[in-house]
Amino acid sequence: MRAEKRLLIILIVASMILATNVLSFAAGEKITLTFMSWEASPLEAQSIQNALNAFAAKYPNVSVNYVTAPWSEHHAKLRTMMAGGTAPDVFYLNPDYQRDFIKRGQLLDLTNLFKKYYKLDDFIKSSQQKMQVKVPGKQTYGIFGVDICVVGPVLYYNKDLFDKAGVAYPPTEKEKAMSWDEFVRMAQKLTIKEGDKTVQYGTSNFEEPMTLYTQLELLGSNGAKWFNDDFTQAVGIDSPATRDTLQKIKDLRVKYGVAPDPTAIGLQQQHSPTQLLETGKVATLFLGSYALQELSKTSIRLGAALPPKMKNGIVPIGSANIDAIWSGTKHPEESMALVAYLTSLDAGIPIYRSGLWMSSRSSMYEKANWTKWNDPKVYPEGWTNMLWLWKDASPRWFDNLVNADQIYDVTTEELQAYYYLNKPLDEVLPRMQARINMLLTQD
Amino acid sequence: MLRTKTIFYYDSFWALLFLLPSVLGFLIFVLFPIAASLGLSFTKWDLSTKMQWIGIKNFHEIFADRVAVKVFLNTLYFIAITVPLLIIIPLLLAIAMNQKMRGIRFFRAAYFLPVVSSMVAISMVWQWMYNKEFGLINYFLSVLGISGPNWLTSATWAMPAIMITSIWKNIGFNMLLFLAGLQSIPASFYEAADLDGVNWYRRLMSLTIPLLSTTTFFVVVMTVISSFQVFDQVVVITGGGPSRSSSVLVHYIYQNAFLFYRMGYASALGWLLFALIFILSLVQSRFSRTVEFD
Repeated sequence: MRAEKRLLIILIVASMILATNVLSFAAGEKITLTFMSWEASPLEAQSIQNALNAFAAKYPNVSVNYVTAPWSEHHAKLRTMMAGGTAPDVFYLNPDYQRDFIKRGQLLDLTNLFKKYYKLDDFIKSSQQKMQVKVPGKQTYGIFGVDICVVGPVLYYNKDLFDKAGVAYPPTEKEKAMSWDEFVRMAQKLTIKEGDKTVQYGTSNFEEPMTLYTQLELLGSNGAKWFNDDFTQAVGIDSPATRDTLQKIKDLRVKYGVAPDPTAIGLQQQHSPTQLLETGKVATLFLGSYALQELSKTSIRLGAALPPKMKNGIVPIGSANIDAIWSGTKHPEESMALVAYLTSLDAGIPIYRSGLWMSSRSSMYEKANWTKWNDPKVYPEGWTNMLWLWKDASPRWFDNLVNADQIYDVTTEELQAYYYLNKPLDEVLPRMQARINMLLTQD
Repeated sequence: MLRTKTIFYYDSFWALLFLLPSVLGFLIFVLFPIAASLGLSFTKWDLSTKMQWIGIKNFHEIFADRVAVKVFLNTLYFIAITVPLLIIIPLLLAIAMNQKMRGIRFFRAAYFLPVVSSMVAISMVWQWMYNKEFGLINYFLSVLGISGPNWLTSATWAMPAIMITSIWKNIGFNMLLFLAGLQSIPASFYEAADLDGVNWYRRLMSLTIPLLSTTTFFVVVMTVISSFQVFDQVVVITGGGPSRSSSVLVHYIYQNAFLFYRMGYASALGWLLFALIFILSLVQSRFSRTVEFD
């Protein structure tokens, strides 16, 4: 009797445990997820918080603890949190770090969960390419993060400064895109000197770090191709196209004097270039489209235009963070629901309207849907002429690499040697290629 | 009837009990991580996959790593300039602050204020001050008819920019130490010197500096150790650039540990740093002289 009683108690307890292991979502159990993004600007953090508030209203039994880290420290912080077993459930991840995290088993494979919420064809070309990553040790492709948006560089300008100088606004139509020489002449007309001092520069931000957009887009547009097709080898860094592009960029500052010293924009501060445009220190700014959120709130009459075309025209690149889930999460289903919400059009449209993101969904580029995101108070005139910059963009080269941080470090060091220490390209480019190749094969 | 002495009877028990939190903290947060990092320095570890024992390969790699050699030389350059300046300037300031005059406390506080401020905040302000186009430093230089350099994009001036910021921040602390040392010197020595008609220079060289030798030794050791560990201002002001010209050992250790997935190599670099500081401290201790007086 005693043994039977004991068995009965065990069965009752076991069934209670099993019952509580049902999807807690459905059972209505209160869960807390942690979501981590970077705080590139207070406006961006507010946009994310608004989306999280809407998620909480939709799923009242799931609360989301929102943490941020500075943009430059975000991935380092993620790595240490993962090592300590305290990583957030859901987080922003730059696609250039994706393969490093996947290699170390730190991202949840979302391939099956993805099909529950999305259709791959709904996404623009660059997003599809970015999201499908070779599974380590296999020949198949998997999905380890969902593309949240796309960002690509545009040429912002201050209309008042153009009017004052009597210079025509730069074009937004593809067939009217300026050549490089036309762009330089425009920048020269907009550069104002008082004695020895330049009080207004024609342009800025062409020497932006490789972790962002501008140099990469110009290199690709000028016909440079740094890596082989599967990004396992650096093959074309030392090429005439690379030399020509880097020389053109440097000449803006050194030869023509139309661009300021890049420390004017702050070395580690992603949004301080906008201050140069706001304060009239520069007339044009080549910068990622994310800056529109901040620039649209300033008092300047803002314009946006196509960047100058190079040898192959304008070959746009577009990339932005993905939402990924930690492989150690205790709540994979709920985390995926959070990712699905954050990447949904419901959450995205208010952020598209703010100018921070361009959509990664093809449908948003159809004319019938423009009114959903195109707020005329935010988007300058002619923006819709340039939608191909995002819709037809390719991912950045660096989005396909391993050992991304070390490669960026080498690239920064070598390009700074060229730009500021005036080391010749004959010395810099072969050495950069050799160092990057070593890192691509490093375990 | 004899009372049995329990453990609570002994003073040593109570002493150990009160020391226990501190000792435990030291063991868990200092000794254990130090020992762990020594072990890590012989491994290859990327913070997530299994650790791999590789013996002294990390230490061997340091000497073949051109970046490690460069940052080491940058660190020595930083120390060679900042340490002497962080002794001479604070000493002179301490002598000036050791006057009995109205308002002297204001100046003592003013010089000490940077010490209690955040280095990151200070570095962000100085970064803008160093701006070639719009910065305050080049503006003041232009008033004097000097064309200021490209502080942060020049291999020549990037490290001096870091040095100036570091010296500005730490002057107050060393000045305070010297001031305390000065105030512990008996006034009778100076009275005797006055009676003998000794001039200010002889007084400084033959009295003040020798009598401050203990304080000076302490300041030198602390300043050298903290100079080896310079980091915040490098990350914020220059990011180690341009082209690694202002990158230092601790910055490179941080990059390897938290950005490059190379915790083992970073640990080896950390132990190299420890060895350098230890050797330098031994050398300083060997050559220091203490003035003894009745």
